[in-house]
Amino acid sequence: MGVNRMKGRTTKLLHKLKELKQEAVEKDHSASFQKKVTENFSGCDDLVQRTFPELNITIIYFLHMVNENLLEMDLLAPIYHASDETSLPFLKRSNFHKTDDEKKVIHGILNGEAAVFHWDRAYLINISGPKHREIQPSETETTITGPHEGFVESSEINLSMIRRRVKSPHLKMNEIPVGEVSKGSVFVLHIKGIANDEVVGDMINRIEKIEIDAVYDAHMLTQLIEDQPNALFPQFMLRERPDAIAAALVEGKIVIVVDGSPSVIISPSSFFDFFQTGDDYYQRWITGTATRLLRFGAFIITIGFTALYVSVTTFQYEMIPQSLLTTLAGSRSKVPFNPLYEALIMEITLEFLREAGARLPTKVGQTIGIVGGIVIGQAAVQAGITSNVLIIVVASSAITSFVVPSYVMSASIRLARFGLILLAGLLGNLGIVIGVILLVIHLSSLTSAGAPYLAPLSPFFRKDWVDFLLRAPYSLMKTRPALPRTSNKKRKQ
Amino acid sequence: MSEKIAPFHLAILIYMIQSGVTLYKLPRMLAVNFGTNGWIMVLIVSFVAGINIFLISLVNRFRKGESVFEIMEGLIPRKVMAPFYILLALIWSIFALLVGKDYILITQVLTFQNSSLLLLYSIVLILAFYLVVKDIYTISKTTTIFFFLTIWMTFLLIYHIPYSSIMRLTPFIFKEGTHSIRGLIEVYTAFLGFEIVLFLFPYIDQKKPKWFLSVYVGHIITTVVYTLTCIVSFMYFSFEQLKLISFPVLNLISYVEIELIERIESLVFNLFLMKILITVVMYLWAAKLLLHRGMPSMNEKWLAPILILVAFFITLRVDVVYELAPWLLIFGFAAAGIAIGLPVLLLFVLWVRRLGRRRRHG
Repeated sequence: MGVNRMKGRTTKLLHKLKELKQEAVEKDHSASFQKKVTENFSGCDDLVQRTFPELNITIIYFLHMVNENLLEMDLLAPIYHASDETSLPFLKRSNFHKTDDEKKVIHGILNGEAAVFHWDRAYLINISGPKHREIQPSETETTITGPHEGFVESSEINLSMIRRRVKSPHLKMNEIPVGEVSKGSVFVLHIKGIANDEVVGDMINRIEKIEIDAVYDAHMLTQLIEDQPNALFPQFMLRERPDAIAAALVEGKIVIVVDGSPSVIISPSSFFDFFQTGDDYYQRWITGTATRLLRFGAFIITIGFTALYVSVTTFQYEMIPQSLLTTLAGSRSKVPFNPLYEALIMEITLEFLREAGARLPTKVGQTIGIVGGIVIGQAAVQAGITSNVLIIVVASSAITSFVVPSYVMSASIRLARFGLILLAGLLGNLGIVIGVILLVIHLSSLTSAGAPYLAPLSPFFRKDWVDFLLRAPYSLMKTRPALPRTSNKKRKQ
Repeated sequence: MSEKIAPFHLAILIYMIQSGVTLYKLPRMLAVNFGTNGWIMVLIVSFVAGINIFLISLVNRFRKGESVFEIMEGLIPRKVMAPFYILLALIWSIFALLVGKDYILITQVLTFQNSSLLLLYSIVLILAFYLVVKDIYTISKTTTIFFFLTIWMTFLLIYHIPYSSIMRLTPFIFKEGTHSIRGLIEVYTAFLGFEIVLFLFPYIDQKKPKWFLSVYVGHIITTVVYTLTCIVSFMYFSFEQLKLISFPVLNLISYVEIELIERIESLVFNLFLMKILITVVMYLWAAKLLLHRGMPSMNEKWLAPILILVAFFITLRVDVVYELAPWLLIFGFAAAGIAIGLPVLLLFVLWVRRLGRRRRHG
């Protein structure tokens, strides 16, 4: 009997030893998993690590990435109320996600989640709430009529604004990580059943293939996924307004939201899309049409007016009406330069003014712009560097360049204008025509996500002309545009 | 997006290939060759060209999806056809460059009297090269834009109507003209360009069964533009005056005065470069296809430069208008011969092959 008692005691001792060993191993594993995670953040003084030894819990998070209210309510409060480590029921709540993937834990902490370590287990809870700019009207896309709110840098807020406007379960969203170092997120949205699946797949594929350290803005992303990144003109439009994005989605286009950027990419886009604004659609169709035609007229003036001045005053004086000829000849008589140099000097000076005005603080910039424009213009005429007719020409070109709604397109047109001025100075009207030919060939060869860039003009899509040069009444806009290659052509379905 | 040329664009392409600098000389050619009311010949010659287009439509109907090369090589081996392809490519590329040179010579006379012809000509050739290396779909899209940028010029004729007189037409028809075959063929060359459609078959969107009608539509647009221009010229100038003016249409445009711009002909004539460019590019494009078929071992990216350079050096010595005229005549005749002969030859080959198939099957 004594032997049996000894045997029993030995078995119990061995069992206890085993449990203690198991506990030691678990502690060791848990410590090593947590250690592996925290080692990745060594040197990050903004990382908060709080240990609750009585509960064997360690929580890790970035204080400036989390929402303080959620931190208190969802994480710290339950911890304070827990009595011992055996009763931690809050870890079983649905907002705590268990994981043993080190990379997932690191990614979660970087995205504003808090990691909770308990023994060998890790849990992630989403209490993300980094500080961000409040929703405000867009500074680059102002509107007189229509909604005023614009996108912000937070992709969550941007996606919520889009979802509020397109309340459809068919609005699909694919999240794609971009940036080897920054680990940013890019969201591709489309409406299933309207957007062309092949085009969606192609856009996702292009984004997945990006190999870069970081993408800071949507403008940067477009240059990485465009069909022809070396082209003069942008191939994807960027808008900062949710109503414009909703309209694009409903037409069958794909939109791309970049986390950290208030601009959203629309694909595909044609050359003429860059001349449309929301005001065209919110005003009456006659007014909208007139404004749109005005914009196209402004495009012609901005690209060709200075070149025409140079051509006419250098080679084709006979084109000027006789009544204007004496005035022009008189104003040019004091100018020592030939019209080409004169025009280039003034155009470049205006570009300096414009760039300086954009870089200076708002109040100072406006003053410099106005004073600089008036003073330089007046002084240049009085000094005999330019003629006053050229001041009017250059000023008209500059003003009309800002009529183009898209800043990126406007910048491309300004560059093209310099080319035309040079050609006009060398070959007169023939030079302008050669410049136009080169531009047309270049534009015709461009595509946007595989779709022709000059649609609906060339190729000629007759039905799309209701929303091209004119903004026809809504009753006439029965079909979706051909550019997105949607199979679901009829609107209202 | 379908990378095929839609019928609408094909019609515009045909019109833009056909319409060229000849328009500026056409009223004089008609007056000299056919006499009073010579503008009627535009309609007659257009009808003859229409018959030519009909022959091409028959080729389209009987080819059963084959390209021109496949039709020919179905009877004659490729190696035997190769010299024929190369010769055709050479004729067309020289013709294309002569058309371009004709335009540049007129431009030089009008605006750049002291400038080097070589410089101006090189610029046009560079433009042609920049466009001809693109695919045919891009060329057709570019052509459509050029069409919209140039078609408005036709409406300038309205300006001359108040100053035109039906009395200047005279009640005589075809009096005091030379009535030569040469004159007829010269006018016929104004309509050349439709034969390029033979090489466009594989690139056209043929979903609509009656797509070939667009070739007729393009031809009709050309006919209408030519007819209106010639009628107005015959009504604006006197008959004797018309026989003496080298470029009557240029004179017509020079009389147009708008409030803001005078002497608009310098702008209008320069815009014509777009039409000339399409004519040059499309003939070069067809020549490129022919050369590639005749010499398949040659790298495709060298075809266009070689054709342009060879044709350039052949036509290098021609640098004044009166020297260019006989060259244009000879190569114009050759191109007209090709336009008429090639569809006939293709129909003949198709007929022989059909006979052969019938014999084999029974």
